[in-house]
Amino acid sequence: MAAAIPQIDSVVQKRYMELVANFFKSAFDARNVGKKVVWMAYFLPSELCYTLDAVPFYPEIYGGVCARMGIVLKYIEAAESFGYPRELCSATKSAAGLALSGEAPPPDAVLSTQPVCDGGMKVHEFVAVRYKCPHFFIDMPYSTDARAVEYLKGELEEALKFLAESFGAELSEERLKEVMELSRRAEELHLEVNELRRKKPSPLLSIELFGQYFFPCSFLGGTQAAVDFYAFVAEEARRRLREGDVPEEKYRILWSPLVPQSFLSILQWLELEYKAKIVMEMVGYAPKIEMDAAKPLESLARKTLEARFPSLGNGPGVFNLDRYRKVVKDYDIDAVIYFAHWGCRTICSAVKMVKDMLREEFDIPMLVLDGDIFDPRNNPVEQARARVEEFFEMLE
Amino acid sequence: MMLERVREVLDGREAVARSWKEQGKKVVGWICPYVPEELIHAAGMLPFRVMGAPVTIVKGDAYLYPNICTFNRVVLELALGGRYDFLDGIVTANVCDHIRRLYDAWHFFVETPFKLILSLPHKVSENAVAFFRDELSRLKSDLEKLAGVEISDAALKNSIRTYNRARELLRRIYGLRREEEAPISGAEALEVVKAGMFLPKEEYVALLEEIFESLKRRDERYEGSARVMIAGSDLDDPGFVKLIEDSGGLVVADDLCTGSRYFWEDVDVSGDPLEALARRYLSPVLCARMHPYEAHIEHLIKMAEDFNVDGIIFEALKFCDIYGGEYPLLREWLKEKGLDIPVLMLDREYVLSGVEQLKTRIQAFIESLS
Repeated sequence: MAAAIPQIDSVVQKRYMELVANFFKSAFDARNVGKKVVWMAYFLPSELCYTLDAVPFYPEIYGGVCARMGIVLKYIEAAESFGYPRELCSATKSAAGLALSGEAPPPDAVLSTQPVCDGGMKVHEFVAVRYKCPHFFIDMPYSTDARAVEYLKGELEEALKFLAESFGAELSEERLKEVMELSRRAEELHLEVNELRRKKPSPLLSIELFGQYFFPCSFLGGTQAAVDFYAFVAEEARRRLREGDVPEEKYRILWSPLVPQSFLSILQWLELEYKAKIVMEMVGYAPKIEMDAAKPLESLARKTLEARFPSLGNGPGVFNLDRYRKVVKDYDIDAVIYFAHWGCRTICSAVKMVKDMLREEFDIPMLVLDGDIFDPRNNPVEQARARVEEFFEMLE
Repeated sequence: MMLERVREVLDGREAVARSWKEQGKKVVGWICPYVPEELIHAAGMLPFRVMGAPVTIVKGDAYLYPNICTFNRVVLELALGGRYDFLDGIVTANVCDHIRRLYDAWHFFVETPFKLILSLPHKVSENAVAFFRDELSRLKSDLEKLAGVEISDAALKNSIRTYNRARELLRRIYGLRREEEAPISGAEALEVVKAGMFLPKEEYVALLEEIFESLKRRDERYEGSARVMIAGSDLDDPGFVKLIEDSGGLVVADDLCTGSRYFWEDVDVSGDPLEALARRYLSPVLCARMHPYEAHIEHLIKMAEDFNVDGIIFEALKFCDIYGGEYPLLREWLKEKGLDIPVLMLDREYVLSGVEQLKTRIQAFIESLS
């Protein structure tokens, strides 16, 4: 199938595509350069791998790249043929399908966890069985208080020891601190980018990073590449503001939570034609996190618990709603588009809570789009487009 | 007949709770057997398992979403409709994606005075036990406030002993099912276990003693053309088990949270009772949500062998990712170990539906076993 990546004339998008390509290339090339590959569950911290000079491979995220390229269905179907239920998340099934196909870089170890979903947990167990490789489960607590941070810190420490032992490598405290200093700087720069996105009009489009502003922090956290990328984006945003080279903006939209990689054309159409600028995506939202390279594992535990997608599902819904409240205020949101990814229980069941809160507390409308994050069989693009049009007619 | 009281309880479980409340005492609902009932019992309150009932889901879809399993949607439907208004509290744990979201909806939309979700680890380690013990300590303190009493270690140990006694009796009753001709059917066994989730435990222990003695003397015997085990997601409908038994199989064992998993393991009565509860309730036997998955599968297969089963019916509620994801692991595990135990995988809804289609598949499976 032909590539379906919506490309626009943007230096940011060009640089992002290079970053993503290099990231996955490093996993495919790892064996040739004598490096170990670790299959990581969605949103587990990449810093664990970089501390040991190993290469993280996130199968669900790679599945997202395949979805953008229009080639993910064969992996999803392979998982279904093997016995995974049709109702299971398509991102999770793409991970199982990649393992079954043998077309991904084989893991030397697997790190798994539960958040964001039970299905992911079971599939990563299967990956370890399939490849007969060592597997460590990082247990994430269902809260973010001091006790939870302490517990997760212990889990991360065990995970590092496990990787070092599995690879016969030495764990260096100094290297961990270096990695965490890079991680802290990337977080800081990501926050700076987010601050720039708050400007009215916002200098950046969501489609420039396919809705994935979190990618470098989450999957390249602990590398110079992530730091350099955010610094580049921040500089480009400042240039646009300075020179008045800012895309037109009629509405300020919060897209929540995940951005469907199989119909990015909707985002492009929204932002370029409708001038409805997506100024934040809930999947990638992170508050300011207390990070100190001198306390590397505590900092990493905080980052893992408090930032981005896991923080939306990892704790009772009250935390979740507080985060929405903050984003709506900070980014001066006009409307919310909520993509109810059919495979995700956590996302879908929050629809009513979020919608009611937005209406009652902010009088902000929310459009719910049903669909599937990767699976092209379940994405009625034209229908979604019609619903978006109706929604904006109502807004006007 | 000995199961009369059991059926009376099951037909009017809310009546049991109301009669308890008439004595001026409180009732605390629990969802999923990861909640240590002993703590509720030690505070002088009645632990009451929150279950569903055959209803049409309307609000459950609107307040959750149709991709949440029907158990959780049915429970929310009942709660929103006032069926659980008699509860003074509700306690659950972050067991699975569905229960976590049910708790959210209950928290926001149902006015139960006390609500708590425990942060439940996914694995057993010393760190995990210490963490979960802290969670149970928080629960204990909240229950003390709710009940207006202090839970002493002695009272808690006493409750643990009562619960262990019930567990022991249930294991004995299950033991009778190892016989070639069992004195109790699978559907009846499920009813007996279920009754214990609503009755005051002391009354339940007395009832189990009576049932066990009667079963030993029972002339009526059950047999089938194949001995079957049921495993998988939440299943509390004896009608489903009866469907298997009416199709020629005899259900002699289970790996269900409404069956053997509920009582298979005791709580240690020596030492710190909160730590003992934390250790027991973190058991991988309780659910496939625990890591490593092998521990649960090994337990399941050991039970299948102990009860000499001919085949396993593995059922998963639609949208249940834990058991939907467990099935390929079970299949690979059996292949790896070279074990030739036939497994039938069934997708099902919480309220029995599509009976004819289910029956056809079950009958074909049982015929293949016999």
